Amino acid sequence: MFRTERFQGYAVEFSPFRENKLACATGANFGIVGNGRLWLLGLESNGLIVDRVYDTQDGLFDCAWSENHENQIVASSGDGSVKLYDVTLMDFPIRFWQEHTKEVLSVNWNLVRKDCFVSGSWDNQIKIWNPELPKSMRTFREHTQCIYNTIWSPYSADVFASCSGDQTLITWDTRIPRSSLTIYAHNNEVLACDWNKYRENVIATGSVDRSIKVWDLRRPDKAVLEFSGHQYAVRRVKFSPHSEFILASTSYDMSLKLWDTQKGGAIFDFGQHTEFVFGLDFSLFDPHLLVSCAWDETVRLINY
Amino acid sequence: MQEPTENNLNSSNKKKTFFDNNSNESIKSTNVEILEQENLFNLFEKYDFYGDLKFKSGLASLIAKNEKYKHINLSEDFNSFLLDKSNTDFILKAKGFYFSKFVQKNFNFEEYEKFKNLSENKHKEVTSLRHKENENSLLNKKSAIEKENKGEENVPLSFQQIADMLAKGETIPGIKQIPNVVNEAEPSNSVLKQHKKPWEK
Repeated sequence: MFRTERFQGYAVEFSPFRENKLACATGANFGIVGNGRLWLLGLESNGLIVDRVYDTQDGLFDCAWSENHENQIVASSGDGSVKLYDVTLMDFPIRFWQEHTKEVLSVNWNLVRKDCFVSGSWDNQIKIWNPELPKSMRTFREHTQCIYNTIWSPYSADVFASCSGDQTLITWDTRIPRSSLTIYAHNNEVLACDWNKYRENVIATGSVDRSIKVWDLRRPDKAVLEFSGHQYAVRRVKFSPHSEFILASTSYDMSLKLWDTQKGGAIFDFGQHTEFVFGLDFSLFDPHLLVSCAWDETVRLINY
Repeated sequence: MQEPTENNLNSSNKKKTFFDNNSNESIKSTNVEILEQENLFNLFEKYDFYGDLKFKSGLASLIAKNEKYKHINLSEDFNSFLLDKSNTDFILKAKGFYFSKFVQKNFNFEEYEKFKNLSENKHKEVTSLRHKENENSLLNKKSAIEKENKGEENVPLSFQQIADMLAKGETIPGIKQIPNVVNEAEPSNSVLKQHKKPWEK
């Protein structure tokens, strides 16, 4: 366990290059008002230690490691800015962009082409960025409410999904200005989505309605699976990089749960956080290691 | 979702249905089990209402009787009525009534709504402060920064304390000013090779 003292965690991500490095995006005062901090953490034999921190004017709500540069990481902020850091350099980002006009809740690095990332904001806009370019490359406007999550397909260089307070999940192809598919996924705000890493057409969503749904994009009229068990809104969902059947979720009910999509139920319940749980990630190198972060100011390593 | 047929629409209009409270036709639920409330709520949410013809015909007659939905031609518009988000509350109430009467008698719709709202309110609590904070952010942040410069020692605040202070228009102490600059030093070069993802192996 590591304490992000005076900062509440929103996102935590393992480095795709180094198995013992991770980053945590946090905000002071619960991300409502005040500074943000990006924590770079090292996983040592005796637990997590802090390698470096970057302070920001406003809270940080998400971060994503570069997939083609081991030292680069992008973080998204409450003031609408998106910042790119070189972890070998102190204090300040090597580039930042101020295009979104409201909180940027999501950044996600392209897993296939690896040369760009996507951001989603409470200004209802989605933007695609190349870290080398001074301006965003594309903007997508179709959601009618705050966007919470934007996630690239693990299979197609141009396809990503987004979810929003407007209750929809939308899939996009960056080569086409309009969306590919809109699913009215829940009867409430959709706060989380992720792609199955082993099944190209399968996406999971999590909502304020407390449920998690699994969708097959080829038959989008009805969810393939629905999990209930969280007592409050589901804030993040992620499919395991190691198994086609394992899905993890975090919730305002302070728990992190693992679900088996084959057997159709919860298989693991982590209850050691004492506040809302926001961030979660699977280690890419250790199939039994998870990390989570929460409003209780802790980052926790979880063996399952 | 099954199409409503002429047949079941007509029959539902002739007969008294389960939505009539004074209906003599009392169908006893055979499956009244003592389940924990939360399980009941989950059962309710998962129940296949549209696969239940009795529910569908009842809902159709309820729509037919409602002044507000006079313009709706049920034989044509039933499915679009069900999909229209503005009818969600109406349909949910009908579902709640039906479920507590015929599926799980110890299901309490009011309690369910409370439970449902709890989750919604929790999320609203988290986001609305942030939304509100944006409206007067410039003002607040400036004064907060001034206060910080006085060098006051500040203790961590709880969520509720922050919410109360913002409601009263008070400034939150301890906010640092971070220069909006880039690090001009030479960025590092990438030397590590990319790993194959577990699903690419």
